[in-house]
Amino acid sequence: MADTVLSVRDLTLEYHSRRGPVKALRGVSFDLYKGETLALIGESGCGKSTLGFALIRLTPNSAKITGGSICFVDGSDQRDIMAMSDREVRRFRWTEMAMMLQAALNAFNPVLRISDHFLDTARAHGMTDKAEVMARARRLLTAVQLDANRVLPSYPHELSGGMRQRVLLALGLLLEPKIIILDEPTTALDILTQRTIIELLRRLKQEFNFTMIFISHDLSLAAELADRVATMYAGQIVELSDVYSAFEKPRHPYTLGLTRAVPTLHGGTEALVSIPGSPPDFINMPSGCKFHPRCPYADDDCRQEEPKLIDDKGHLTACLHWRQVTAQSKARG
Amino acid sequence: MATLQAPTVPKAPPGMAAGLWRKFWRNYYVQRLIKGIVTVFVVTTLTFFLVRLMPSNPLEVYIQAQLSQGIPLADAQAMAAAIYRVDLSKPIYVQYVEYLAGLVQGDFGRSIASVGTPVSSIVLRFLPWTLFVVSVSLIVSFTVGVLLGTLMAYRRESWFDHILSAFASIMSAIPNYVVGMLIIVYFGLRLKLFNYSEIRGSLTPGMVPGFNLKFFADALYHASLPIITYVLTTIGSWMLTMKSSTLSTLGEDYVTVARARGLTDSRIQMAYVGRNAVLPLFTQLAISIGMVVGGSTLIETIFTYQGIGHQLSSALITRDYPVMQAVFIIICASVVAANFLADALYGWLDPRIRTGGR
Amino acid sequence: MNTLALLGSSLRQSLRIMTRNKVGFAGLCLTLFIILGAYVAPSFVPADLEAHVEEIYEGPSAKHLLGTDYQGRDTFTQIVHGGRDVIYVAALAALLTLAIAVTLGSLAAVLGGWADNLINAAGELVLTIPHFPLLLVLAGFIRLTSPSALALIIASIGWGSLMRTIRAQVLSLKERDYVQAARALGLPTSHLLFREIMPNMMSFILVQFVMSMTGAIYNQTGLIFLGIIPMVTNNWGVMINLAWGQGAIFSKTSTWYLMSPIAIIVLLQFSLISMTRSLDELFNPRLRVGE
Repeated sequence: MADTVLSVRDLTLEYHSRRGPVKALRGVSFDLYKGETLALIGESGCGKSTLGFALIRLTPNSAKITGGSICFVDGSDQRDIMAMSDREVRRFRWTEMAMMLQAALNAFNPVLRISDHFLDTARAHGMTDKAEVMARARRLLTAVQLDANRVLPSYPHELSGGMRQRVLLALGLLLEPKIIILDEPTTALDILTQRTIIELLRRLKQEFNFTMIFISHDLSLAAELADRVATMYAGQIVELSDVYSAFEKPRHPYTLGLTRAVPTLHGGTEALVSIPGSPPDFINMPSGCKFHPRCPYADDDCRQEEPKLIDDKGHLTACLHWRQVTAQSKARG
Repeated sequence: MATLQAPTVPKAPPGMAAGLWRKFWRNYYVQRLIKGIVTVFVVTTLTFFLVRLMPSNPLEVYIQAQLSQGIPLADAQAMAAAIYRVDLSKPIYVQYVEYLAGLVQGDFGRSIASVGTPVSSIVLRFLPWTLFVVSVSLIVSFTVGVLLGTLMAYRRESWFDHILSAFASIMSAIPNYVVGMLIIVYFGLRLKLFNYSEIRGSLTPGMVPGFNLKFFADALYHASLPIITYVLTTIGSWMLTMKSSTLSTLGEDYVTVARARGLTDSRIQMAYVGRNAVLPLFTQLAISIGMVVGGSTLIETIFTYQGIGHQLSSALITRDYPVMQAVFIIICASVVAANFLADALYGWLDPRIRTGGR
Repeated sequence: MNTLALLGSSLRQSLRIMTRNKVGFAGLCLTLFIILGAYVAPSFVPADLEAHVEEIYEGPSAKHLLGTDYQGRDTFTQIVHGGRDVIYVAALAALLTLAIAVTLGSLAAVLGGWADNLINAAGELVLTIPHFPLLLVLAGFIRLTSPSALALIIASIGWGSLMRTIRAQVLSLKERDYVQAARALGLPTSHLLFREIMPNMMSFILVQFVMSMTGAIYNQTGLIFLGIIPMVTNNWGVMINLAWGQGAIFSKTSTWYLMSPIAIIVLLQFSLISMTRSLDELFNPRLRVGE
């Protein structure tokens, strides 16, 4: 059994909107194993970005984590992020766990140079030796295939989008965090740059040995990089499995729908399946299983009780009819 | 802020110099400087022709007045020429050029009201006082306004925010000279916080200007009320603008990323939020400078402060046209110069402007 | 729908938005009250402008609601009668400013080329030169006898920023309807202006109109205060000038003579500005204090 680096249990998060309280996360639980790449997939608004922020306790002012625990495991040392003081959390961020927001285009302070960003980050965590920080920055920038001499004295607006994404990666690795969370790392980029970033992520992971969570709505990215895939729907994880099972033998109707909705290069002329309906309104959630209005397998049981994650040989599913779904996906192929 | 389409770059000389030439003209600072000089030049020209072409042409009024006293036309014209520094027998364009030549040398003609006094000496006597008050007021108003605005943003919806917002709203409705009046009436005469008859004017009678502490203290004492008035009337706008700018900067991605990077709150507030939020305010500085200088005419009258604004209105009342002309040009030139400084400051603070040429 | 009806409906829409906001509605009501009062109330309050030497600088009483002035005349009466000129000049100045800005802005955008450059440069100039000193100089050279002339002068310097906005709007339209704009001057263009631009910008224009009014009030009272403008009729501005000049500040009772016109002017300014707050929030998150 691989080592667990992060253990999340029943994480709930609520924020106040004009129309009422919104439960953006409703009891999220999962384990993260050392060295793996976990993909967090879902439609917009399902809560995946919120989850990423919640893991480092970075929530907008109107949001509050109302329950659950996030345990960070460092060797024999276990720390509950929820129990940390504000100061401890601040130190924890970026040094142990680095969350990289999507849209690296606006991730940098326009009035500071790139070198200042590195120095700022280092200084905030106690590294005051300027020369050492710069040396490290250079090494990292080279690792992401950028010319350090050109990039370091530049201002953010002087770099292209792809370059900024890479600088952000280098910055993320500055303090050698154990876990890196990437939110939509390739969304804002053109397809050629996407390829470069994907390759880069692969190599960096090998070289620097971190555990990676990336959040995306792009399934192909998951197929490329992930070891395991978690599907999120309506603020919960509805399926968690290794990447092959997720694509070949999904057990949740939503995952099935997602994977079958994308045309494959080798695919035949089978009809593409799209998921009817739209994501639920978080203020007026459907009863029972939140997916039931859009689910072809739904029955009265589904409408009444909300299924819990069922663990079957490491493959977790939150569906009452998962066996049916699996049979169907096997048949479809 | 000026958003004129970029002035067409003059034709480049051939060879290596071409690149430098183009770079020179595209430079932010050079463009602003040229614009400023052109503006002053246009103002001067307009003022000159205004004096000559307006219905109640002061030169003719003057000549008529002299004629009615029995002075022959030629003599009257000569006297007019001496005052207005123009030769009336020459065609207007020659007069214009001579006028400009005189200006460049600092000769603005002679005053009518204080017969024989060179206008330039009048200007030099009163200008520093206004510049002093205006600069201090702008600096104080801007810095305090920005600080308060930042606090208002961080303490949004608190009583602090509400009170200051209400204050800003109310102040914006009161004309600046009325604020001066209210200060005099209520704080001076009613509450007796200061002695009104003493604090009027720019200096205590008998005080000799010199580089000593006593002089500066006295000058500051007399300047305090005008400064307070200016600050009260302009600070509201800075507060509100800084508040909204800070609020919108707080929502920027790089602030979230900064928090994710574990930066301290104080570092984020200063270098990430503050420095970016204050930038747009510099574009408003130009307008504020115009307002404050423009209001100096009224404020100085209220406090009988001997500055150049007061000179403008008294010159108008006494029909001392050479002084009026000169003071107006100087006022415009000061505003233009101050605008240029504000632009330069903005350019220096925002790297996107500084490296724009790349 | 004919253009007038179109403009009328968008005006009504903007007013509706304004009144939805509590502050805006209160401002609108107060403004209307003051304006109506200034024009209607004089019919009800007799203008007794006889000097009563024995009643100089009295404080408020049942007989004199706001006290008396330096000649013993009733202050309240003067306040009631003193608003017409001020409001007339302000409204006319604002209207003329609007007309100039719209005309120049549209011309600049439609004609382009040297006309555009010229108008832009003029606008830039008018924005850079401080307004009040410029007004002073103009007032010095032009004999201002009628309120309308004063309004015109005030309008001639205040069109800068509105012109730019109109020009930007027309330009954006020009990009869209290139063919129509290619027919340059003449009816098609003004048609475009009134049917497309004005309705869209009605809220903004309304706010600018109100702010122009506040600026005009400031300018005219300032000019009157300095004694630049011949004081023909007794209005609020003139009262301030006289009060200040006659030393009304020096005694408790005489201060009423100074404070009354100040109070009513500040009240008017405040209600005008409040009117714009609700609209301001909609399109301009940065609250700007007009000149």
